[in-house]
Amino acid sequence: MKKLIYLLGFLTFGLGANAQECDSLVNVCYEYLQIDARNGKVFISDGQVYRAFVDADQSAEFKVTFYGGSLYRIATTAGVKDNYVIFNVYDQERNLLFTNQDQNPANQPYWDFKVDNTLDVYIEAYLDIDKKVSGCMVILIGFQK
Amino acid sequence: MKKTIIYLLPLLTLAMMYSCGGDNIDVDSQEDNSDIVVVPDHVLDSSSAMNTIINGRMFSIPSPVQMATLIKSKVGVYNETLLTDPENVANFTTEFKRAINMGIYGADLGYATIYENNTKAVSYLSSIEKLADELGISGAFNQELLERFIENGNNQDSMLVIMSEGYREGDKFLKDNEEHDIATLILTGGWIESLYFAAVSYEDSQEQDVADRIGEQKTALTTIIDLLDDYNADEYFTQLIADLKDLKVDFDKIEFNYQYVEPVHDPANFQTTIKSKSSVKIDDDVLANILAKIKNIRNGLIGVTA
Repeated sequence: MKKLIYLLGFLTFGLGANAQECDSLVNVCYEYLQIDARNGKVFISDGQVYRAFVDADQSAEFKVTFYGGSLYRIATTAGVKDNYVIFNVYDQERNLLFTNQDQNPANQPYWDFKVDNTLDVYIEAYLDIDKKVSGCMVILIGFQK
Repeated sequence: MKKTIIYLLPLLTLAMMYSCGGDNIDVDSQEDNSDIVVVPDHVLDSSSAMNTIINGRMFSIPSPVQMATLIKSKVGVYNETLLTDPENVANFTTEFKRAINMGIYGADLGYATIYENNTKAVSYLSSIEKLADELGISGAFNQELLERFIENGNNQDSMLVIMSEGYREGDKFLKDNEEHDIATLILTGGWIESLYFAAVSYEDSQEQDVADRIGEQKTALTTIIDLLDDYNADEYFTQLIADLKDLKVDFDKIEFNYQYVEPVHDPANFQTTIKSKSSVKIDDDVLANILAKIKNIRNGLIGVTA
Protein backbone atom coordinates (compact mmCIF):
# COMPACT_ATOMS: atom_id res chain seq x y z
CA MET A 1 0.00 0.00 0.00
CA LYS A 2 2.81 2.40 0.94
CA LYS A 3 4.51 1.60 -2.33
CA LEU A 4 1.34 2.56 -4.12
CA ILE A 5 1.15 5.87 -2.25
CA TYR A 6 4.78 6.62 -3.14
CA LEU A 7 4.15 5.74 -6.74
CA LEU A 8 1.03 7.89 -6.95
CA GLY A 9 2.94 10.76 -5.34
CA PHE A 10 5.70 10.39 -7.84
CA LEU A 11 3.34 10.24 -10.76
CA THR A 12 1.51 13.35 -9.57
CA PHE A 13 4.61 15.42 -8.97
CA GLY A 14 6.85 13.81 -11.55
CA LEU A 15 4.59 14.13 -14.55
CA GLY A 16 3.57 17.62 -13.43
CA ALA A 17 7.24 18.53 -13.26
CA ASN A 18 7.87 17.19 -16.75
CA ALA A 19 4.95 19.16 -18.13
CA GLN A 20 6.18 22.32 -16.41
CA GLU A 21 9.73 21.82 -17.65
CA CYS A 22 8.33 21.46 -21.17
CA ASP A 23 6.17 24.58 -20.70
CA SER A 24 9.20 26.69 -19.82
CA LEU A 25 11.17 25.28 -22.73
CA VAL A 26 8.41 26.14 -25.20
CA ASN A 27 8.88 29.79 -24.22
CA VAL A 28 12.66 29.49 -24.57
CA CYS A 29 12.27 27.90 -27.99
CA TYR A 30 9.79 30.54 -29.09
CA GLU A 31 12.42 33.20 -28.42
CA TYR A 32 14.56 31.59 -31.13
CA LEU A 33 11.78 32.17 -33.63
CA GLN A 34 11.64 35.84 -32.67
CA ILE A 35 15.34 36.51 -32.15
CA ASP A 36 15.77 38.36 -35.47
CA ALA A 37 12.44 40.20 -35.43
CA ARG A 38 14.17 43.55 -34.88
CA ASN A 39 16.01 43.01 -38.14
CA GLY A 40 12.70 42.47 -39.91
CA LYS A 41 13.10 38.69 -39.99
CA VAL A 42 9.79 37.60 -38.46
CA PHE A 43 8.95 33.90 -38.28
CA ILE A 44 5.34 32.91 -37.71
CA SER A 45 4.86 29.70 -35.75
CA ASP A 46 2.91 26.97 -37.53
CA GLY A 47 0.78 26.87 -34.35
CA GLN A 48 2.03 23.47 -33.24
CA VAL A 49 4.28 22.49 -30.35
CA TYR A 50 6.50 19.47 -31.00
CA ARG A 51 7.94 18.04 -27.82
CA ALA A 52 9.01 14.81 -26.27
CA PHE A 53 10.48 13.64 -23.01
CA VAL A 54 13.42 11.57 -24.15
CA ASP A 55 16.41 9.75 -22.76
CA ALA A 56 19.81 8.95 -24.21
CA ASP A 57 18.75 6.30 -26.69
CA GLN A 58 15.55 7.95 -27.89
CA SER A 59 14.95 10.35 -30.72
CA ALA A 60 11.90 12.16 -32.05
CA GLU A 61 11.15 12.32 -35.73
CA PHE A 62 8.46 13.94 -37.78
CA LYS A 63 7.66 14.64 -41.39
CA VAL A 64 7.04 18.17 -42.59
CA THR A 65 6.25 19.55 -46.03
CA PHE A 66 8.43 22.55 -46.87
CA TYR A 67 6.78 24.58 -49.63
CA GLY A 68 8.79 26.01 -52.50
CA GLY A 69 9.58 29.73 -52.30
CA SER A 70 9.38 29.76 -48.49
CA LEU A 71 11.85 30.45 -45.71
CA TYR A 72 11.51 28.30 -42.61
CA ARG A 73 13.18 28.32 -39.23
CA ILE A 74 13.53 25.19 -37.10
CA ALA A 75 14.14 26.03 -33.44
CA THR A 76 15.04 23.52 -30.75
CA THR A 77 15.83 23.50 -27.07
CA ALA A 78 16.23 21.22 -24.09
CA GLY A 79 17.58 23.87 -21.70
CA VAL A 80 19.10 27.34 -21.64
CA LYS A 81 22.63 26.74 -20.38
CA ASP A 82 23.92 24.88 -23.41
CA ASN A 83 22.85 23.64 -26.82
CA TYR A 84 21.58 20.19 -25.91
CA VAL A 85 19.64 19.18 -29.00
CA ILE A 86 21.09 17.65 -32.15
CA PHE A 87 18.77 17.84 -35.11
CA ASN A 88 19.10 16.47 -38.61
CA VAL A 89 17.00 17.23 -41.66
CA TYR A 90 16.63 14.54 -44.34
CA ASP A 91 14.80 14.53 -47.64
CA GLN A 92 12.35 11.80 -48.64
CA GLU A 93 15.22 9.66 -49.97
CA ARG A 94 17.04 9.97 -46.66
CA ASN A 95 19.73 12.25 -48.04
CA LEU A 96 21.04 14.37 -45.19
CA LEU A 97 20.23 17.99 -45.99
CA PHE A 98 21.48 19.51 -42.76
CA THR A 99 22.76 18.74 -39.29
CA ASN A 100 23.36 21.29 -36.55
CA GLN A 101 25.92 19.02 -34.93
CA ASP A 102 28.93 20.25 -36.88
CA GLN A 103 28.01 23.92 -36.94
CA ASN A 104 29.70 26.69 -35.02
CA PRO A 105 28.53 26.85 -32.29
CA ALA A 106 27.96 23.10 -32.10
CA ASN A 107 24.29 22.10 -31.89
CA GLN A 108 23.23 25.60 -32.97
CA PRO A 109 19.65 25.73 -31.60
CA TYR A 110 17.98 27.31 -34.64
CA TRP A 111 18.60 27.30 -38.36
CA ASP A 112 16.87 28.76 -41.41
CA PHE A 113 15.94 26.84 -44.56
CA LYS A 114 15.32 28.58 -47.84
CA VAL A 115 13.34 26.19 -50.00
CA ASP A 116 13.50 26.44 -53.79
CA ASN A 117 10.99 23.66 -54.54
CA THR A 118 8.42 21.89 -52.39
CA LEU A 119 9.64 18.75 -50.66
CA ASP A 120 8.85 16.51 -47.73
CA VAL A 121 11.54 16.48 -45.08
CA TYR A 122 12.09 14.37 -42.01
CA ILE A 123 13.28 16.20 -38.93
CA GLU A 124 15.07 13.96 -36.45
CA ALA A 125 16.01 15.34 -33.04
CA TYR A 126 17.73 13.85 -30.01
CA LEU A 127 19.73 14.89 -26.98
CA ASP A 128 23.50 15.31 -27.16
CA ILE A 129 24.35 12.69 -24.55
CA ASP A 130 27.66 14.37 -23.75
CA LYS A 131 25.61 17.25 -22.38
CA LYS A 132 22.30 15.83 -21.19
CA VAL A 133 21.04 12.30 -20.74
CA SER A 134 17.32 12.86 -20.40
CA GLY A 135 14.74 15.59 -20.37
CA CYS A 136 12.12 17.47 -22.29
CA MET A 137 12.99 18.49 -25.83
CA VAL A 138 10.98 21.11 -27.68
CA ILE A 139 10.96 21.90 -31.40
CA LEU A 140 9.10 24.74 -33.09
CA ILE A 141 8.76 25.51 -36.78
CA GLY A 142 8.25 29.01 -38.06
CA PHE A 143 7.89 30.41 -41.56
CA GLN A 144 8.26 33.82 -43.10
CA LYS A 145 5.17 35.30 -44.70
CA MET B 1 10.92 -1.02 0.42
CA LYS B 2 14.13 0.85 1.31
CA LYS B 3 15.27 0.64 -2.28
CA THR B 4 11.96 2.09 -3.41
CA ILE B 5 12.30 5.02 -1.03
CA ILE B 6 15.91 5.63 -2.06
CA TYR B 7 14.81 5.95 -5.66
CA LEU B 8 11.63 7.87 -4.99
CA LEU B 9 12.74 10.47 -2.48
CA PRO B 10 15.19 12.28 -4.75
CA LEU B 11 12.66 12.11 -7.53
CA LEU B 12 9.90 13.51 -5.34
CA THR B 13 12.22 16.26 -4.15
CA LEU B 14 13.20 17.11 -7.69
CA ALA B 15 9.60 16.93 -8.83
CA MET B 16 8.51 19.30 -6.05
CA MET B 17 11.32 21.69 -6.94
CA TYR B 18 10.00 21.82 -10.47
CA SER B 19 6.34 21.83 -9.53
CA CYS B 20 6.62 24.70 -7.09
CA GLY B 21 8.96 26.75 -9.17
CA GLY B 22 6.36 28.86 -10.94
CA ASP B 23 6.97 30.33 -14.34
CA ASN B 24 10.63 31.07 -13.77
CA ILE B 25 11.57 27.46 -13.37
CA ASP B 26 15.23 26.73 -13.96
CA VAL B 27 15.05 24.37 -16.88
CA ASP B 28 18.68 23.43 -16.48
CA SER B 29 18.55 22.53 -12.80
CA GLN B 30 19.04 18.86 -13.64
CA GLU B 31 22.52 19.62 -14.97
CA ASP B 32 23.43 21.41 -11.75
CA ASN B 33 23.21 18.17 -9.77
CA SER B 34 26.34 16.10 -10.01
CA ASP B 35 24.38 12.88 -9.62
CA ILE B 36 22.41 11.63 -12.56
CA VAL B 37 18.84 11.02 -11.53
CA VAL B 38 17.52 7.61 -12.44
CA VAL B 39 14.11 8.12 -13.93
CA PRO B 40 11.78 5.17 -14.32
CA ASP B 41 11.20 3.92 -17.84
CA HIS B 42 7.49 4.70 -17.86
CA VAL B 43 8.22 8.41 -17.43
CA LEU B 44 10.68 8.31 -20.29
CA ASP B 45 8.33 6.37 -22.50
CA SER B 46 8.14 8.30 -25.72
CA SER B 47 4.50 7.39 -26.15
CA SER B 48 3.47 8.77 -22.76
CA ALA B 49 0.61 11.22 -22.61
CA MET B 50 2.66 14.42 -22.44
CA ASN B 51 4.18 13.88 -25.83
CA THR B 52 2.92 14.79 -29.26
CA ILE B 53 4.14 11.39 -30.40
CA ILE B 54 1.69 8.76 -31.54
CA ASN B 55 3.02 5.26 -32.12
CA GLY B 56 6.54 6.66 -32.15
CA ARG B 57 5.79 9.40 -34.68
CA MET B 58 5.29 13.13 -34.39
CA PHE B 59 2.95 14.91 -36.73
CA SER B 60 2.99 18.25 -38.48
CA ILE B 61 0.18 19.96 -40.36
CA PRO B 62 0.87 23.03 -42.49
CA SER B 63 -0.37 26.42 -41.31
CA PRO B 64 -3.37 27.89 -43.19
CA VAL B 65 -1.52 31.22 -43.26
CA GLN B 66 0.93 29.82 -45.81
CA MET B 67 -1.89 28.94 -48.20
CA ALA B 68 -3.51 32.38 -47.78
CA THR B 69 -0.13 34.00 -48.48
CA LEU B 70 0.30 31.99 -51.69
CA ILE B 71 -3.23 32.84 -52.85
CA LYS B 72 -2.67 36.53 -52.26
CA SER B 73 0.62 36.48 -54.18
CA LYS B 74 -0.74 34.47 -57.13
CA VAL B 75 -4.42 35.41 -57.32
CA GLY B 76 -4.44 38.76 -55.60
CA VAL B 77 -8.14 39.48 -55.32
CA TYR B 78 -9.76 39.40 -51.87
CA ASN B 79 -12.79 37.13 -52.00
CA GLU B 80 -15.03 37.46 -48.98
CA THR B 81 -17.37 34.74 -50.24
CA LEU B 82 -14.61 32.25 -49.41
CA LEU B 83 -15.08 32.93 -45.74
CA THR B 84 -17.55 31.50 -43.22
CA ASP B 85 -19.93 33.56 -41.12
CA PRO B 86 -18.20 34.48 -37.85
CA GLU B 87 -21.60 34.80 -36.18
CA ASN B 88 -22.30 31.07 -36.45
CA VAL B 89 -20.76 30.18 -33.09
CA ALA B 90 -24.12 29.43 -31.47
CA ASN B 91 -24.77 26.76 -34.11
CA PHE B 92 -21.76 24.74 -33.03
CA THR B 93 -23.25 22.75 -30.19
CA THR B 94 -20.96 19.72 -30.02
CA GLU B 95 -17.29 19.51 -29.09
CA PHE B 96 -16.54 18.14 -32.56
CA LYS B 97 -18.25 21.09 -34.31
CA ARG B 98 -16.67 23.64 -31.98
CA ALA B 99 -13.17 22.28 -32.44
CA ILE B 100 -13.33 21.83 -36.19
CA ASN B 101 -14.87 25.27 -36.67
CA MET B 102 -12.31 26.85 -34.38
CA GLY B 103 -9.76 25.64 -36.91
CA ILE B 104 -11.88 26.90 -39.80
CA TYR B 105 -12.24 30.32 -38.16
CA GLY B 106 -8.50 30.37 -37.61
CA ALA B 107 -7.90 29.94 -41.33
CA ASP B 108 -10.48 32.66 -42.06
CA LEU B 109 -8.72 34.90 -39.55
CA GLY B 110 -5.43 34.26 -41.33
CA TYR B 111 -6.97 35.01 -44.74
CA ALA B 112 -8.60 38.25 -43.53
CA THR B 113 -5.35 39.32 -41.86
CA ILE B 114 -3.23 38.59 -44.93
CA TYR B 115 -5.65 40.70 -46.99
CA GLU B 116 -5.59 43.44 -44.32
CA ASN B 117 -9.31 43.29 -43.62
CA ASN B 118 -8.84 44.03 -39.94
CA THR B 119 -12.51 44.47 -39.11
CA LYS B 120 -13.29 41.00 -40.42
CA ALA B 121 -10.21 39.59 -38.71
CA VAL B 122 -11.27 40.94 -35.33
CA SER B 123 -14.75 39.45 -35.74
CA TYR B 124 -13.17 36.02 -36.33
CA LEU B 125 -10.89 36.43 -33.36
CA SER B 126 -13.89 37.30 -31.15
CA SER B 127 -15.68 34.15 -32.33
CA ILE B 128 -12.53 32.08 -31.78
CA GLU B 129 -12.36 33.45 -28.24
CA LYS B 130 -15.93 32.21 -27.63
CA LEU B 131 -15.22 28.78 -29.09
CA ALA B 132 -11.97 28.53 -27.12
CA ASP B 133 -13.92 29.32 -23.96
CA GLU B 134 -16.48 26.64 -24.74
CA LEU B 135 -13.68 24.16 -25.41
CA GLY B 136 -11.99 25.04 -22.11
CA ILE B 137 -8.92 26.67 -23.64
CA SER B 138 -9.78 30.28 -22.94
CA GLY B 139 -6.24 30.83 -21.61
CA ALA B 140 -4.96 30.65 -25.18
CA PHE B 141 -7.42 33.08 -26.76
CA ASN B 142 -8.38 35.65 -24.17
CA GLN B 143 -9.30 39.31 -24.04
CA GLU B 144 -5.65 40.31 -23.64
CA LEU B 145 -4.70 38.55 -26.89
CA LEU B 146 -7.64 40.17 -28.67
CA GLU B 147 -6.56 43.62 -27.44
CA ARG B 148 -2.96 43.05 -28.55
CA PHE B 149 -4.23 41.95 -31.95
CA ILE B 150 -6.28 45.14 -32.31
CA GLU B 151 -3.43 47.35 -31.03
CA ASN B 152 -1.14 45.93 -33.70
CA GLY B 153 -3.67 46.55 -36.47
CA ASN B 154 -1.11 48.43 -38.55
CA ASN B 155 1.49 45.66 -38.40
CA GLN B 156 0.45 42.54 -40.29
CA ASP B 157 3.46 40.48 -39.17
CA SER B 158 2.68 41.23 -35.52
CA MET B 159 -0.97 40.30 -36.02
CA LEU B 160 0.00 36.96 -37.57
CA VAL B 161 2.50 36.30 -34.79
CA ILE B 162 -0.16 37.06 -32.14
CA MET B 163 -2.66 34.82 -33.92
CA SER B 164 -0.19 31.94 -34.18
CA GLU B 165 0.69 32.48 -30.52
CA GLY B 166 -2.94 31.81 -29.58
CA TYR B 167 -3.08 28.60 -31.60
CA ARG B 168 0.31 27.49 -30.27
CA GLU B 169 -0.81 28.07 -26.68
CA GLY B 170 -4.04 26.20 -27.39
CA ASP B 171 -2.12 23.29 -28.92
CA LYS B 172 0.19 23.18 -25.89
CA PHE B 173 -2.69 23.33 -23.41
CA LEU B 174 -4.65 20.59 -25.16
CA LYS B 175 -1.63 18.30 -25.35
CA ASP B 176 -0.81 18.98 -21.68
CA ASN B 177 -4.32 17.88 -20.84
CA GLU B 178 -4.29 14.86 -23.12
CA GLU B 179 -6.97 16.36 -25.33
CA HIS B 180 -5.13 15.38 -28.48
CA ASP B 181 -8.42 14.74 -30.26
CA ILE B 182 -9.50 18.38 -29.87
CA ALA B 183 -6.05 19.62 -30.92
CA THR B 184 -6.23 17.41 -33.99
CA LEU B 185 -9.71 18.64 -34.94
CA ILE B 186 -8.61 22.28 -34.71
CA LEU B 187 -5.64 21.61 -36.99
CA THR B 188 -7.85 19.59 -39.35
CA GLY B 189 -10.44 22.38 -39.61
CA GLY B 190 -7.76 24.94 -40.43
CA TRP B 191 -6.22 22.70 -43.06
CA ILE B 192 -9.56 21.90 -44.76
CA GLU B 193 -10.52 25.58 -44.86
CA SER B 194 -7.16 26.53 -46.39
CA LEU B 195 -7.64 23.84 -49.02
CA TYR B 196 -11.10 25.24 -49.70
CA PHE B 197 -9.55 28.70 -50.28
CA ALA B 198 -7.17 27.11 -52.77
CA ALA B 199 -9.91 25.11 -54.52
CA VAL B 200 -12.18 28.10 -55.13
CA SER B 201 -9.25 30.40 -55.96
CA TYR B 202 -8.01 27.92 -58.56
CA GLU B 203 -11.46 27.64 -60.14
CA ASP B 204 -11.62 31.43 -60.39
CA SER B 205 -8.06 32.04 -61.57
CA GLN B 206 -6.79 28.79 -63.15
CA GLU B 207 -3.46 29.72 -61.56
CA GLN B 208 -1.20 26.66 -61.92
CA ASP B 209 0.85 27.42 -58.78
CA VAL B 210 -2.35 27.18 -56.74
CA ALA B 211 -3.23 23.82 -58.36
CA ASP B 212 0.27 22.56 -57.59
CA ARG B 213 -0.04 23.68 -53.99
CA ILE B 214 -3.29 21.71 -53.71
CA GLY B 215 -1.47 18.64 -55.04
CA GLU B 216 1.34 19.18 -52.55
CA GLN B 217 -1.11 18.60 -49.68
CA LYS B 218 -0.97 14.82 -50.03
CA THR B 219 1.41 14.38 -47.10
CA ALA B 220 -0.75 16.62 -44.90
CA LEU B 221 -3.86 14.67 -45.89
CA THR B 222 -2.22 11.37 -45.01
CA THR B 223 -1.07 12.81 -41.68
CA ILE B 224 -4.54 14.08 -40.82
CA ILE B 225 -6.19 10.75 -41.63
CA ASP B 226 -3.62 8.95 -39.45
CA LEU B 227 -4.21 11.38 -36.59
CA LEU B 228 -8.00 11.18 -36.77
CA ASP B 229 -7.82 7.39 -36.96
CA ASP B 230 -5.67 7.32 -33.83
CA TYR B 231 -8.16 9.43 -31.85
CA ASN B 232 -11.38 7.91 -33.11
CA ALA B 233 -12.02 5.66 -30.10
CA ASP B 234 -15.51 7.14 -29.66
CA GLU B 235 -16.12 7.02 -33.42
CA TYR B 236 -17.09 10.70 -33.59
CA PHE B 237 -14.75 11.21 -36.54
CA THR B 238 -15.81 8.18 -38.57
CA GLN B 239 -17.68 10.15 -41.25
CA LEU B 240 -14.94 12.76 -41.58
CA ILE B 241 -12.29 10.04 -41.87
CA ALA B 242 -14.37 8.30 -44.57
CA ASP B 243 -14.69 11.59 -46.50
CA LEU B 244 -10.96 12.27 -46.23
CA LYS B 245 -10.09 8.72 -47.29
CA ASP B 246 -12.33 9.19 -50.30
CA LEU B 247 -10.46 12.42 -51.07
CA LYS B 248 -7.17 10.54 -50.74
CA VAL B 249 -8.22 8.16 -53.51
CA ASP B 250 -7.84 11.12 -55.89
CA PHE B 251 -4.72 12.47 -54.21
CA ASP B 252 -3.10 9.07 -54.73
CA LYS B 253 -3.42 9.60 -58.49
CA ILE B 254 -1.22 12.70 -58.39
CA GLU B 255 2.28 12.19 -59.72
CA PHE B 256 5.20 13.64 -57.75
CA ASN B 257 8.74 13.85 -59.02
CA TYR B 258 11.68 14.59 -56.80
CA GLN B 259 15.38 14.95 -57.55
CA TYR B 260 17.97 15.49 -54.84
CA VAL B 261 20.36 18.38 -55.36
CA GLU B 262 23.08 19.13 -52.84
CA PRO B 263 21.99 21.95 -50.53
CA VAL B 264 24.03 25.12 -50.07
CA HIS B 265 24.99 26.10 -46.54
CA ASP B 266 25.58 29.62 -45.29
CA PRO B 267 26.93 29.15 -41.75
CA ALA B 268 27.53 32.87 -41.23
CA ASN B 269 23.78 33.48 -41.51
CA PHE B 270 22.68 30.16 -40.01
CA GLN B 271 20.93 29.32 -43.24
CA THR B 272 20.74 26.44 -45.71
CA THR B 273 19.22 26.68 -49.17
CA ILE B 274 17.55 23.44 -50.21
CA LYS B 275 18.13 23.20 -53.95
CA SER B 276 16.39 19.87 -54.64
CA LYS B 277 13.98 19.90 -57.57
CA SER B 278 10.39 18.69 -57.55
CA SER B 279 7.27 18.80 -59.67
CA VAL B 280 3.60 17.85 -59.40
CA LYS B 281 1.47 16.45 -62.20
CA ILE B 282 -2.33 16.41 -61.72
CA ASP B 283 -4.70 15.32 -64.47
CA ASP B 284 -7.62 17.67 -65.04
CA ASP B 285 -10.27 15.13 -64.09
CA VAL B 286 -8.42 14.24 -60.90
CA LEU B 287 -8.13 17.91 -59.97
CA ALA B 288 -11.83 18.44 -60.70
CA ASN B 289 -12.72 15.54 -58.39
CA ILE B 290 -10.46 16.91 -55.66
CA LEU B 291 -11.96 20.39 -55.88
CA ALA B 292 -15.53 19.05 -55.71
CA LYS B 293 -14.76 16.79 -52.75
CA ILE B 294 -12.97 19.53 -50.82
CA LYS B 295 -15.92 21.88 -51.22
CA ASN B 296 -18.37 19.19 -50.08
CA ILE B 297 -16.34 18.28 -47.01
CA ARG B 298 -15.83 21.91 -45.99
CA ASN B 299 -19.45 22.92 -46.53
CA GLY B 300 -20.62 19.91 -44.54
CA LEU B 301 -18.42 20.91 -41.61
CA ILE B 302 -19.72 24.48 -41.45
CA GLY B 303 -23.32 23.29 -41.84
CA VAL B 304 -23.91 24.30 -45.44
CA THR B 305 -25.34 21.53 -47.59
CA ALA B 306 -24.46 21.45 -51.25
